[in-house]
Amino acid sequence: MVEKTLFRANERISILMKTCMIVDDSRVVRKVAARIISDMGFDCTEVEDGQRAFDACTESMPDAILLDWNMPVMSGIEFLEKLRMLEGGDKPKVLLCTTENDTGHIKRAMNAGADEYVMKPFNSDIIESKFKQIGLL
Amino acid sequence: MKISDFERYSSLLKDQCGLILSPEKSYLLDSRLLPVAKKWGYPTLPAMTMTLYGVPEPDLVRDIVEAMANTDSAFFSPIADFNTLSEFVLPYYDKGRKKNKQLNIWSAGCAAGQEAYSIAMTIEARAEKMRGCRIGIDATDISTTILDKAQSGTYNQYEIQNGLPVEMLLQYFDPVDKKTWAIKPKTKKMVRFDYFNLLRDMDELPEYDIIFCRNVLPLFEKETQAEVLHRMLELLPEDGFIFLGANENIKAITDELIAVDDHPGLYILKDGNYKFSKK
Repeated sequence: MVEKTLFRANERISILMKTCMIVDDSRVVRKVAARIISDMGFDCTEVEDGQRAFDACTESMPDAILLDWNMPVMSGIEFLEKLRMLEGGDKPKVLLCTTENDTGHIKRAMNAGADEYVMKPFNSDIIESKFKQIGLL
Repeated sequence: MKISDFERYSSLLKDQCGLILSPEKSYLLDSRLLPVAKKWGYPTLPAMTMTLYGVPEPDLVRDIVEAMANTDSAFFSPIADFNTLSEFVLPYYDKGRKKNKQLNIWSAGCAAGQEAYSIAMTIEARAEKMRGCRIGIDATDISTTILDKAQSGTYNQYEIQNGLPVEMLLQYFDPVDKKTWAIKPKTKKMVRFDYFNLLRDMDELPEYDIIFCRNVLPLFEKETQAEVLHRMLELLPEDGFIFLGANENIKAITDELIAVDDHPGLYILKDGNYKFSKK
């Protein structure tokens, strides 16, 4: 009886919570980002490359995606370009998150459909500030 | 830190610039003062503290006060204030200032310059609507170290990403190296940084149409807050605006201001002359 009540409570929370997919081939970065973004009230999922992220998005679109640029199998930019062509793929707010911090890379990311750009290393203040800027908080 | 040492630093800060250091902020002291102790060659913080019980060097006192008075700041923080500036305050002057096309703005307690440069970027973003208007932004602080940083207009990767949308980063900043960005000269030129202690007489300051003094007054004792705010309000013209922190309770320190509806933190003069209803 207690388990059933808890299950219902969790189910209700996950429906109300916004979702964020963290796409990065570094497990450490995923874990750090997931902790920061969960603390901001998001239900986080972690994915390790662009192809898996794309497959997950065809099943269900998250509200936000924190996306690494350099990943094996499919890069962040390739994923982003394919995502924006999917039906409903314009919905997720995408923050491209990378160590590439020259203006050329930033412009390319924005042209590909990123909503914001996060330069690594980041901290919780930066992620929160970026989420606020694009209306996720 | 011993309570007696905390009290020594606290009274030094109050004597020099009127700022109150609450015991809850004592945790900041070690991290802020250790670099000062190192600079002056003291092996430990207690060794430096000892000299404060005698007659310390004025330059040491200045470094200590600057280190303790420094506050963190971010670009466009909070964004609501800059939306208010862009969508309510500046449009008011577009319409209402046909004769006087000079707009003076003061960022009081400007820290590392993010507030002043955010004001400058907000104005540049609507430059078309303000054509022919001369803008002067004065930004002041009591820390010469932090003023040097503000004047340099350079920010590291953490600072530049805190509050600044990437579109504005590209528009208003140039990369210096892999981890540093500098505000573009055109925007930088709009702001003039200078040392000013808010406890001082303000008679020599010009009239300011818009004053930003957000989250600064609560650092003073109540009586000092009232005096500083009163002197600032004497610099406002009869249709001037002042931004204070949205959570600051000003009722206890002034009856000269009215809050502007729907714009938390924005105030106008109760006895002012505005081209809209004050309610």
